[in-house]
Amino acid sequence: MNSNISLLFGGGAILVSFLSLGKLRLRQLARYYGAASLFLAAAIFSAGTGEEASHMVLTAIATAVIKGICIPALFFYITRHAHLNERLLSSIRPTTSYFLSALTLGLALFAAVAAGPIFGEVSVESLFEAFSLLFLGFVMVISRRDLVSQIVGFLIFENGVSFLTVITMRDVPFVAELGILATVLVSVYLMSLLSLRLKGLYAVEDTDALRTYVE
Amino acid sequence: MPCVPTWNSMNPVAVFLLLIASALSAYVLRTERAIRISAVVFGTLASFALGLTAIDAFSSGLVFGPRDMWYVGEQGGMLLLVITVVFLLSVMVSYRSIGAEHQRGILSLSDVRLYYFLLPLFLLSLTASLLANSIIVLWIAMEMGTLVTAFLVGIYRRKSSLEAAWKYVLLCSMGIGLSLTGLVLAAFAFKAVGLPGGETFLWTSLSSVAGDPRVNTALLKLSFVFLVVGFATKMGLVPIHAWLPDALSKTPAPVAALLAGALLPVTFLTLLRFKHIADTALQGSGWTEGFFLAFGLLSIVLPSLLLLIQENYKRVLAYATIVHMGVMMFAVGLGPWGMTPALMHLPVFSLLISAGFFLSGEVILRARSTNIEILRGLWRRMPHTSALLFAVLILTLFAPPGGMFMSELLLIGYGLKVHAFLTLIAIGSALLFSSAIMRLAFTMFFGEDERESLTGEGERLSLVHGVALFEISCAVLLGAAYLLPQTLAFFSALARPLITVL
Repeated sequence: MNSNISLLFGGGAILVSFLSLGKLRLRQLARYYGAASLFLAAAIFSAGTGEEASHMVLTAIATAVIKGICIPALFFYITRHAHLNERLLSSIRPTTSYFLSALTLGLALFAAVAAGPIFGEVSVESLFEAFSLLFLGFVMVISRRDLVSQIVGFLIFENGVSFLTVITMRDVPFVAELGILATVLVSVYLMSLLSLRLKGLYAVEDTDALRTYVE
Repeated sequence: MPCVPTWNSMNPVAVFLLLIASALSAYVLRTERAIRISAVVFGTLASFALGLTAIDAFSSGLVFGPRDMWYVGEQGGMLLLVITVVFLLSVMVSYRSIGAEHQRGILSLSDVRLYYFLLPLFLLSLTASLLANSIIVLWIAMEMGTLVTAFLVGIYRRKSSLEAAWKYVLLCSMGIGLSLTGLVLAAFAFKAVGLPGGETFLWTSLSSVAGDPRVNTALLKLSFVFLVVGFATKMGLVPIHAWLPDALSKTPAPVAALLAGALLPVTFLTLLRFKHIADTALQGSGWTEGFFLAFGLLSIVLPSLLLLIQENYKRVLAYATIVHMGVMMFAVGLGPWGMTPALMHLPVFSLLISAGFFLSGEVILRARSTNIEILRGLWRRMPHTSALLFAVLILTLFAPPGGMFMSELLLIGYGLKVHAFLTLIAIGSALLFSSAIMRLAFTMFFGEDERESLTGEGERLSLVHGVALFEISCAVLLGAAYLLPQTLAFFSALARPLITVL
């Protein structure tokens, strides 16, 4: 029962991440990422309570706090204080983004079915959800041209890794999970600082423009 | 394996505390000169402590600390010694180069603070990733190392250096994300063995049960694909090398030396450790060797071609770095006996490439350019730097008497026996690489300089020359030592724990 609920929440994380690929407003994107992370936390929580694994419950809480609240709040803070452009840049139109994302989900399904037998006890549905998040994150990194979206793409990818950890390794110590979450938080903070430095010095947020700077 | 707490059990923690103190001192001290002196003092102390740990690794516990927290391994001990030397020399070179750049107004006081705050943290992340017994700690240390160095790469705040920093952080973070996926899958592949919770993520546990028939080998293969692609990104191997030439050419010389001479070898060794675990589980090294051969050969061939069109000598050094990482990958890919030349290549490469970057910083300080055409006739203007840089370039071309000659000789001999065609391609590319480097070196050092104004006053010897001379001498001495059978036996013994014997 609980694994079904976990799958349902995982599906929520995919749906929100899928929708975020077509969003070209910074605050919207941060909100969508936060919502996807809360779905992920709920998936971990339901899996943890089903197995009476207290470390997974703690991981779920930490995920909700760090990814669901702190990281979106950090994006809001940066947007407000550094006057980042609310409008994000993409190499492709939103409709094309959705089309590409749908293809990506198809690829994830194919990969999950193909890899299913080697994962043994892990269901194909769970694998599909993990692979979908991994692939969607990757698509966002390569299809977006602005710095913030690329960070969010990396974070969606990392959500996929988290979900894969939950469905495969159920006994990861909480300290290790917390270490990874803290690293992600620090990574986002430092990557944001770096993007602010770019923006502050050269008013550049478009990574295509950055490429032209190579000597 | 023995797990007896000895006096050195606290060493990494003591070193970490020293490095943190060094980092904090950058924001406590008031003047730029005091910050530089403090960095040299703390850096020397930390290097001394790390050196002791490395030496101890050869003689006593390979696993130490509370709850088997640290694992150094024989090759880890050697590499720890190498990165300690490169770090200490980087701190010494920084004393001169960062001071000079501050005086010229290239770096502000806050930039100097940031530089000296991040430099020890870089070593901390390197040491933690090399010594951590937990692969999760390894991952965290690698990601932190990437972030720390991203700011060092972009410290000049020029558009090109910020672009390089962004490319570096994004590509490497994605690479590290892939390797985290690989780590999770690898741990899952071992789940059926029944290791208790936290032990699934320990190097020592994974190594000890790698041969268990319950290991899910198909999953382990999948995990290795993620790991090899992730770490190849971090090592800047072709075709995922885009960040490396930019990062190494835009960053301060001591940081470039550390990136090329310490970060890449540490990542390489981490990959070798995973390879060993995978080989043991798969009961053969043939499957993993294919990846090493492919990445190795591509990393020798493509940069050798790209060198033909380079105009920036720092990028030349960066491409030389990729070629040499490719040589080591290729050597490992050839088969079990390739591990010995690869390990022999590693310390000499670290010493020479770091010397090359240190000297490149000296050229920039004086000539203020990285363009080979502008630097034509450099030998007349900077005879000491030119002579040393020329020696470095010659020795990186696998020429005697440097240590790379011997490792290359072993590699070719073995390669022609097991993969003759691929080895011939590698030899052809190496010849192309050598001719491209020689052409660029002759243009830069001995080319006709039409601008008389650039031939100026004589060059004085500096600390950087001493450091480079020390490294070149070590590389030559190692080359001489490689001729001794005892040295060969020593490196064969170092390689043995990484070779899967069935």
